[in-house]
Order: sequence, then C-alpha cells, then structure tokens
Amino acid sequence: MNCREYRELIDDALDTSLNGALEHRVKLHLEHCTVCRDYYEHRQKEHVALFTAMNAAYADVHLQSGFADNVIAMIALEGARRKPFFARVPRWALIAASLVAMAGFVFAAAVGIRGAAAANQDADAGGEGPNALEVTGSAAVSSVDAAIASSDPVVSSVPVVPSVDSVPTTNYQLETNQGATTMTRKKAAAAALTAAITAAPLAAANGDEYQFIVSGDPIAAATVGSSSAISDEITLETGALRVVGSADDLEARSRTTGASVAIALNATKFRTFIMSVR
Amino acid sequence: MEVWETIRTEPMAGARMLIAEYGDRLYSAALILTQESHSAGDLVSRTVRQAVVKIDRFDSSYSFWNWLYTIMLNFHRTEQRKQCAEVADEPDFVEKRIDCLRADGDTDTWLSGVDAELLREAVARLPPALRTVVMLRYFEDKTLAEMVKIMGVPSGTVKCHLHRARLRLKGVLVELFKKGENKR
Repeated sequence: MNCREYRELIDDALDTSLNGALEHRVKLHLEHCTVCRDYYEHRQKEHVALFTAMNAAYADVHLQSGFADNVIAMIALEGARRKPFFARVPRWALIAASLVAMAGFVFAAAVGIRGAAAANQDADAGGEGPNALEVTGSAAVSSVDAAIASSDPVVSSVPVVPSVDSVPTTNYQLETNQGATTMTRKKAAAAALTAAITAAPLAAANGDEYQFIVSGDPIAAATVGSSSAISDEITLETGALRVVGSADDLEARSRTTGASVAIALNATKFRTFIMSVR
Repeated sequence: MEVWETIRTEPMAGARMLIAEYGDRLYSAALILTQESHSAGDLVSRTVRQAVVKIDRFDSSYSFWNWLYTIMLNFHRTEQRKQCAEVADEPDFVEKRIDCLRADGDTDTWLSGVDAELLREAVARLPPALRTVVMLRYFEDKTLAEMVKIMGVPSGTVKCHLHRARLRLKGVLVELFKKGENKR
C-alpha cells in the first residue's frame, strides 16, 4: 500500500469508519512515515478548527419566543383534523354531555317542560347560516384586529377544540400572536387584508377590493372597509392554506385601482397567517 | 424521563420538552441547511411535529437526536426536490481548489483566520447537498456510520459528498480569507 492509499485510510480513520485491523495498520504506518503523519495531524487540526468555528458561527442562534406554543397548537390542530368527529372529543366530555342530556330529560319529564333539546344547543351558534360558526363574534374580531395592528404578528396560537354540541361547519381559523380565532371566511379574509394594510400602508379607500397574491398565485380577496361585503373569489384549498409572507412573495393588489404593495416583513420573524378549513 | 418517553405518554408536554432541549440546536442545523430563517423555522416545526406524531416508530436503542436529524433531513430533501434545487456542480471547481491549496504552502494561516462571518458565508455558498454533510460532520461531529444512518444513503455516497464538501469548503474559505486580507 502506498502513501496515497494510506492517506485515504487516514481520512476514513478520522471519520471513524475503519475496522480494528485497518486502523492498526494505519497507526503502524504513521509511526515511520513523517509525510503521512504530517497529513494526519493537519487533517485533525483542520477538523477541530472547522468544528469549533461552525459551532461558534451558529452559537447565538435561538428560536423565537412563542415557537413552542405555535408548534403545540399545530400538533393539536393536526391531531383533531386527523380523527373522526367524536374521536376528537375527550371521553369525559362525552360522559358529561350524556349526563347533562339525561338530567335535562329527567327534569323535563318531571316538570313537563318542552324543549329538552335546548340544553344541547350550542350557545355560540352564529346567525349566518350553515356555513358559519363564530366562536366569540365581535370579541374575536377585535382581538384579531388588535393582534394584527401590532407591528409583527408572529404566530402563537391556541387551538380551538370543538364542543360536543357544535355542528361541523366550514370555518376558518386565523392564528396570530394573540391567539386563535375561528371566523367565517369573510372575516378571515378581512383580517388578513387589515394586516396587510397595517403592515404596509396602502392608499386604500373603502370599497376597494384587494387580492392577496403569494408567489404569483391569487389566493384570497377582501374588500376594504367592510367585513361582510367580501367578494366570493376566495379560493382556499381543502385543509390548511398557509400564507407565508416575505417581501418578495406576498403582495396585496387592488382590483379597483390596480395598485399593489409588497408586504414587507421582518426577515428574522416567523410570520404566518394560517387559514384552515375545519 | 427521557424526552421520547415523555412524548409517548404526554405528547404535548413531550413536544414542549423536546423544543426546550433540542430546539435551538435543531434551528441552527436547519439554518445551515436552508440558509433562511423562515424556512429553518418551518423545518424545525415540521420535524418536531413529525417526531411527536410518529414517536411510536422510534427505536429506543437508536440515538433520539440522530432520529430527529433523519426526520429533518427527509423533510429538507423533499422540499429541495419540490423546489427543483439543482446542485451547482462544477466539476472543475474542486480541481482548481486542490491546485490552489497545493500551491498555498501555509494553509494554517487561513485556518487560524476563519471567523464566524467568513464561515457562514462559505457555508452559504455550498450547494445544498454538500451543506448537509458539512452540517452533520462539522457542526454535529457525526461519524461516517452515523451520517450513513441519518441520511439513509450508502457510505460511498456520504464519503464522496464529504470529500467534495471538505475541499469545496476549504476552497471557498481560502478564497474569502484572501479577499479579506487584500481589503486590509
């Protein structure tokens, strides 16, 4: 074996991929070959220097605060989405609901009051028809507005667990650093538009329709000044539509005036609007 | 209790523990791979979520940390394929660098002159495939056997990438170092 071949074995030895016999052979060779010994020492020094430098170069890198909350929320959401409806509900809730229902029937039977089913009505049921279920109504919107009025809406969300009595509907969940809010798609689009206006002020007038475009693909539309009169041209994929903003990717374009603005985001922040179909 | 044991019994608490113990390190590794903070954050998030969901597949005789890296690299590889990322392979580049290094008698000089900024710049210039092996070898100090297991590729492939990465990284560092010296 010549020195060139030994140097290949030295590389392997440093990567600890040599078996005992070969490693022993290399050691023997290094005892009397100064050229290969110099090579070995240089490679060792080089590895230590690179390892030290790499770790120093990335030593001050940290996940931002709220990251863990965001991930936990996503895990809960994904877990809920994966299971059938009743499998999502904890057993204690099912038992409690059953007991309440039974108590209701017994009470109704005892006092002769009709409408035992009223005990099962969801107090949060909205009034916008089968496709809407607003959990907290205006309070939710105002909390979202407050969130997106801040300079950098970092996602840190709390999962919304459907109650036993809630009716599966088409809802959208907007997650911001103030928490998660379930809302109709109209309000979700309005919230996203408001965020865009807040992040990069647009010369927007009431009634202007804005379209959100991510990487060239239009994904949502909303009208300035109104949370209810939103165009129906919102196309959301089934499941989670994730809008990840960057200065290059996210823009809001006025369908009325044609003016557009790129949403400038802080590159060091983790900024995501998540609208998901539940 | 180990992190993976906590994840099995209490997934949410386990996930939080995982992020507390490994999060920053995972993020550093993801930054090396993706070179972009949003993507790195996404990659860590997906890795943690997958680890929680698939914890039953983890074999406790294996290193949990290496298992996390396997998950991360799988996601990264998939993402690279989606973006049709092509390795900027310049066959002559390595040879030019070897000549440069042979001609440069005092390689110790550039080694001592490597600083954080220079190294980050050099890593950023590497093709994605080579960044992976650089991250595993020089950031995590993984052995070849560990890298084979984590990356799920033959040892010959890992060796080849490692060799090219080492030469290319040195070449870029020497180049950047010399540029820095010339500016002074």
